[in-house]
Amino acid sequence: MKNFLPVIVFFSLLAGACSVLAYEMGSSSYRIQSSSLNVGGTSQSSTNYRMEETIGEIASDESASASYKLKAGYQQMQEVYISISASANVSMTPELQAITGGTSNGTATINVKTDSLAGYNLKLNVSTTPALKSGSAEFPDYTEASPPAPDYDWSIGTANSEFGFTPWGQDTVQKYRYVGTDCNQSGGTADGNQCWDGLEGSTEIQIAQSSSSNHPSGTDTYVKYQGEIKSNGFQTPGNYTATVTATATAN
Amino acid sequence: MSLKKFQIISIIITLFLSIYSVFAATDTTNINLNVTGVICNNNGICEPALGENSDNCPLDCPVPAPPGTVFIPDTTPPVIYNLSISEITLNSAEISWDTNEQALCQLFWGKTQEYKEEVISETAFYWKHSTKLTKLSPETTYHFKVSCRDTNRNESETTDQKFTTLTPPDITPPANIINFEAVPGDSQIVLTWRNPPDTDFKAVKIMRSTDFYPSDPWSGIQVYNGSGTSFTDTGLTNGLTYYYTAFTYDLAGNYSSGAIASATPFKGIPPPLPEEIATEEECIEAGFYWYDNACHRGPKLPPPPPEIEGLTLEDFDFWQEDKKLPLIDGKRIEAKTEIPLTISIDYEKVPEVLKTIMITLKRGEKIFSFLLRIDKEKIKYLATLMPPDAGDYPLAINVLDFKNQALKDIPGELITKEIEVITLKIPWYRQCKNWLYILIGLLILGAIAYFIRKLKKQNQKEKNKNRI
Repeated sequence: MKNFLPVIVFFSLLAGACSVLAYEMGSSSYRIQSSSLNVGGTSQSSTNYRMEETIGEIASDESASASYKLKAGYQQMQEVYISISASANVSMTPELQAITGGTSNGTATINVKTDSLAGYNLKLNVSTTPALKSGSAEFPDYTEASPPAPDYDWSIGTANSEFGFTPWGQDTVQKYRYVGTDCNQSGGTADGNQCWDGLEGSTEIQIAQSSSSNHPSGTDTYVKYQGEIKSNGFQTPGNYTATVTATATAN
Repeated sequence: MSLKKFQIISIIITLFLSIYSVFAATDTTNINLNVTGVICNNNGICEPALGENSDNCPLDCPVPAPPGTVFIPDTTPPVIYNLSISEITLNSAEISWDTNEQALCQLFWGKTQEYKEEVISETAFYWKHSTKLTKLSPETTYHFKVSCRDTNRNESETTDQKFTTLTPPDITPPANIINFEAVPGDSQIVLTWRNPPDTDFKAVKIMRSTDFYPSDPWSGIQVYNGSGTSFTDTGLTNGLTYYYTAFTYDLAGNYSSGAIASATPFKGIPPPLPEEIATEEECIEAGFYWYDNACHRGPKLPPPPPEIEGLTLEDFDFWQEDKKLPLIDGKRIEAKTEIPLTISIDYEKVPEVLKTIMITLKRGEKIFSFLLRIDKEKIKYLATLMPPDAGDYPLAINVLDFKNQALKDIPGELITKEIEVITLKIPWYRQCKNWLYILIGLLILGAIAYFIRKLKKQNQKEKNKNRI
């Protein structure tokens, strides 16, 4: 053993320099996009910057010609790109009358692009509880009949006013997919008309996920927001706003 | 730290790094919902929690009268006016009305003046009021009344009001014409028929083709359009077969499935029918086909597909007065005369390639045929016809393929019977005239008895005189 350790270190250095061990590994829960053997490195960060360092690789850099691009070295290979773009503002229509009530809708589009081979997760949360507020006036969040399971049909009490959402798109999670009149169905349909849920303040609610990369075009996920004031209900007049944060995380 | 430990830790950290890396991105969206209206909900209850006060909601939160003020109570009920019923459809109507002061109203409605269907109640005080009644039945009269109360609970009510929902459009076609015949002559064909008794019957449109029977009122050449009962089609080519389909239509523009007839004009001696030809030479010379030791009008056909081959009369439905007629012994149908008879088969029972289904009635030497047509919903092929006079008629249903070649002939029998007029036997004591006869008889008997008695008395007197 005494003489064996230097041999391992030698081969580690050699392997790191040549990056010949950059391969995928995975289990049922995790995926490692790539790995290498080298002598060291760590992650450092400040308020504005973050640095990933690796020691022990040679000839590691990015080089390109007219037709090819070469990313040599562990850090080059480890680069995972993810971006998100969401509708800046959604104005729900029509305006609702405080006394006579009605139903108003609006749809936001969220596009997530990633080259992560393991895909991404998309979650929503809001800055306030309830989500929709106008000064001190509050528009209650949608309450499901059996939380946290979404309701197949939108349904609120005869004297209530509530605000909720339902997502759809190719990466919509199972929770918002339905078969027949049941939500949370694997392989079901998500179409923006069924499986209604309420936002839960700062608690993140997962609405989409993927287990593969989708660059360069990315994938759109749509979120239909709905507010309703029942004719027997009453909602203080005002311009209500909810600030919804969408977070996409590369797997 | 020794070199060995440094080397081992470096390897472990480097391997772990690849697992630890997580990348995320966020973006925010502002969702805006505008709620308009006044804070006041005018429900007669002062609700400060909603922001109501005597300034923005005087009806719900009236200003208390200053001390010493003489309170004059409001006892005048609201006046209901401008009551109107609009946008009446087959199954809905909109009702609106105004009040001369803000009022909370209820609308009671139903099919009678008991207004049992529903009570629609407002939840706030308004000057202008409206509501929509839905899920009504077509061609039905509905009654309603409106009751309103003001904030001082003074109530007023309208008298009974009523309206009638619209009548659904007529989508029932008239029956086909009856006894449609085509009699050939020299360069002409005389068409005769009887019009159906439908009250909304308007006219007959006859279409002609030299290929086959026109399948709808827009196929072929129109040769006649009117309400007459005969027409002579002239200028025809002798030896060429002409196919006619007569479609009746009603005032609403509904067309029947079509009655059909065909003929071949000729000059001189009429050409023989294939069944009249006994030899192969004559048959071929006449332009017909010889097989199975008989002369036929058309060539021998290959066996039909199994779904056609399996069709029987039981696959067809016969209807009169919305009642399905039973099939007797698998081949006979008994129908009443003078009542339209509808013959249908489910669309699913016949394959898509199928084009034409004909039903033929034979009366003596004459044949009357009708087409079955697909309904608008593509549920059934059907034809409606007036049954002929009382009697037994051989019936045949012919299924033709898209080339108009006969695939299957299904024989049957139609027995028509006149509608029985049932005369009820009235007991003698329920007939007024019998009692009159009895009364007259009694009077006569009484008179006779009176005269006999008078005669006897007279005789007695005379006898007594003679004795004296």
